Amino acid sequence: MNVAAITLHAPEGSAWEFLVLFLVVILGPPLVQKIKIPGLIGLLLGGFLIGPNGLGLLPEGSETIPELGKLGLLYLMFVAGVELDLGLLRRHRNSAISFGVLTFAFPMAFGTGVGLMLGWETPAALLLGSLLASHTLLLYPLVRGAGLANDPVVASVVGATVLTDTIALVILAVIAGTESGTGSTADVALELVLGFIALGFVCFYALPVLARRAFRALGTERTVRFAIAIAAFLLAAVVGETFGIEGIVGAFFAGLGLNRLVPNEGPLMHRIDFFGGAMFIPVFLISVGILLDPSVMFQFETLGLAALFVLACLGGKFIAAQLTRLVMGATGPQAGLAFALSAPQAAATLAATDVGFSIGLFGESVVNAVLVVILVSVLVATLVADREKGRVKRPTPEKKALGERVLVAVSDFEGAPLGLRLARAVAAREAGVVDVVLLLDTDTTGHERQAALDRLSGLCRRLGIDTDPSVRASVHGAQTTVLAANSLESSLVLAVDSGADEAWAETLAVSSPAPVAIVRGTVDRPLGEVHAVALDPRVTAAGTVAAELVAAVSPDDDDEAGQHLESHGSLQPGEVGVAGVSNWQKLSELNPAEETGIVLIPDDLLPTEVPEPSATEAHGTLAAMG
Amino acid sequence: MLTGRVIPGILALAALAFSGCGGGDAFNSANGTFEPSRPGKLTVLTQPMPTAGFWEGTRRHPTGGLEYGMAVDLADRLGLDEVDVRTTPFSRIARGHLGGADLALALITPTAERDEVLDFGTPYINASPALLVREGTEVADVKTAQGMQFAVGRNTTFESIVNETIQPDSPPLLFENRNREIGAVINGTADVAMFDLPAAQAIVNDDDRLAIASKLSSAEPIAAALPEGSSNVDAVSSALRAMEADGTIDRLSEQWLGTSLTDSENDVPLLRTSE
Repeated sequence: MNVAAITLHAPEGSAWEFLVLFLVVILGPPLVQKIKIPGLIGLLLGGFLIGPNGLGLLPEGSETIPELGKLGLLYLMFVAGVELDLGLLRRHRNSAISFGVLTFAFPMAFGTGVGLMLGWETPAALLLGSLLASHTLLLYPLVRGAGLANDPVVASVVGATVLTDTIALVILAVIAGTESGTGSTADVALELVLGFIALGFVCFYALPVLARRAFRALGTERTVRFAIAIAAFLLAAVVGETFGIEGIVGAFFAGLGLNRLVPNEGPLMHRIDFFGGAMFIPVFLISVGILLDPSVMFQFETLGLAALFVLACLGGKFIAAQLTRLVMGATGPQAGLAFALSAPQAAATLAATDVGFSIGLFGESVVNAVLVVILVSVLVATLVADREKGRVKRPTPEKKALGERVLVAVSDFEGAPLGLRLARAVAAREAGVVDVVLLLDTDTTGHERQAALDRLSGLCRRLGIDTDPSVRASVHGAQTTVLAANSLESSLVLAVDSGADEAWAETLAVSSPAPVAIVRGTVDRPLGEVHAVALDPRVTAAGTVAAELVAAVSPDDDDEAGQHLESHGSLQPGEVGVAGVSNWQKLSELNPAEETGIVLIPDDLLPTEVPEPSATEAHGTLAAMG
Repeated sequence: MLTGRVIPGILALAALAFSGCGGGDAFNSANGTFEPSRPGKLTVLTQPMPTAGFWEGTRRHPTGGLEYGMAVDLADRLGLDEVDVRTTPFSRIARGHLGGADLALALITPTAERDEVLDFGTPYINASPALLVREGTEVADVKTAQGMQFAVGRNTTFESIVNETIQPDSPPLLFENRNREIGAVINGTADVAMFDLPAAQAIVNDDDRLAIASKLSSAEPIAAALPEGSSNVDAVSSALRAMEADGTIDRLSEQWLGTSLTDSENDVPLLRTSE
């Protein structure tokens, strides 16, 4: 055997490129996080290190990572759209719009002004302004972790992100379309208008409808659901590109369109986050880092541009944040926090810069200067957030909407379809999450538990509910449900149990952190219109919850939902009553008639002196199945 | 509000200062500034003409071609009035001798060695090496190719690709002039020649005695070469990216090569590494 005869080959090819890529994904973020710099900077620097301007581990002209990076960019923008909290935008609409306009307008004006004063062409100056005007909620997890998610100023900044990113991407689409389109200006403008109409129709009407149906019809496997989400944003990107609109705009709009179907805390969002965090988004960031060139970055020209961009961006964001003191009555620390949340430049900024570069509007100096802006903005914002988050008074926790996190505790399989349908309807209104717990006796065997769990999982999938049911074996079903509700921080508990007795219900209602509704009935058909029924005139608190529940499953335009009172006897086949009850005995007495269902909400908060119910107080309501 | 007046003021002063000081014209464009070697002219260097599909006509009277079309479009985007075409052997371009031209468009692939004497713009073609043969000759796998006589351009990347990837039984014939290299295949001095696929496509379009037998799987970038240390790289790269984004390159490819760059890649079979 002649060792000298062995020929070793220099590493090359896709396996080598992916190995290098994943080494950066593994090592880049933790290394920079040790010095308190966000992980994305580690990926950008890692991209530079492995690229031709760094150690040259990737061959010149390699297409693997840049091509994958393009998919990563679409994914990044889809995630940016899908994880935005539209609920916050709805709840803080006016202040979010006010702040959105301010925090977009100042950097946009300053950035455009800088470009024009430097003698740039108008499209390049406008694109610079718009990319500096967007922001990424990089530090929101930090602020949320400090218990400030419900602070009105914080919530407004989060809501404003929808506005800033949308406007920035629309401007990007128009500029990219006019710069790279062919034909007269009028032709290009018409193409863009038609494109936005088509994109709006696809993303905000067709995609949600198709995705909802696909989730039910095809989405029986987790991988299929994930693939549907991917296909959705790719479809939107293709539709956009067909009309000369950048694919990232379509991907972002697809994210917004599917926002309510993909709850932030749900399993599908976790999978989207997982794959994005592990693969797609790092690849994009690394592919951008490859463009980083120290010989360009540390030139006078690049550093000069970076200084101007930083001043325009952070200056504009600072002025907008300070104006919250006038517009929203924010305190100094709250204004500081608004600045810290709206200053970081990442997703939309990188996306717009990448597009600007690829259509030849920006050169390498601008790209490298923008990378400096991203680094500086993230560092400055992190320092400000660290300082201000301890100085902002924690808001009193807001009462959760019923549909934010619905727990369905199933002890009775026959009633499970009704409980799950109710949960799905309530959660859909708030883009909430449905958790399902199967309660079994301790004497069941492992095989029986698995079989029951499989059956329940199949039912959830049939109903299109994206959840991973779990099984709990216990002799104390009520306590187990309470424990689950506590650990999941549920906003509503639907206990599907035909045999719930007084002690059971009392334990559940008294100890549960959320309103409890006991679901009985074997109806298995789509939920429909709403009636009302008065079961117990003494009920107050539970009656209110019952009215909320009915309203939550009623159509958006039904203002009277939960307000009309019907009698219990008026339940027709296919209908379900929702009512508050004060007397525990009623739980065992009130069983639904054939083909009807009943949802009872025990009232554990009855005052000693029960007030006369007013005409507008809903004491008992009835949800119909149609 | 003080900050409302101060920040715009600082920005205006700083922008004016930057646009008027040391950086000079460098700040005046978001996508790089181009300074031609001769006022109002884009001086472009290429191989001796014609190069089928890429440079048609003569040096003094160029009539078209993909790279000539790109040069004209580039001059327009850079605000220059005319294109001055110069020619020199490929090996001189590869060694960094651009003879005062602003750039070379000569189907040149960036390599580490060339990078020491030239600067390269953004690649405008990614092409696989293709095997050009006489019509009716088949070269489906490496084993068959090894038994054939190769012809390649001297100092081109194909020289090393043939020697290292194909490893033919007899050493390849080296040509300084690509038209003689093509002639060697036609008259039977060589069995097969290696060119970038788009170039091979153009040669085949021009001469029906020739055909493309197969292509290698690894694609090579083709880029504009600029003098080492040129300050025009950013401007040229930006203009080339814009030409790619708005479809100019594909349009020129269809006009002069008879196919889009992507289609030509898809139509040719891969050279198999085993039978």
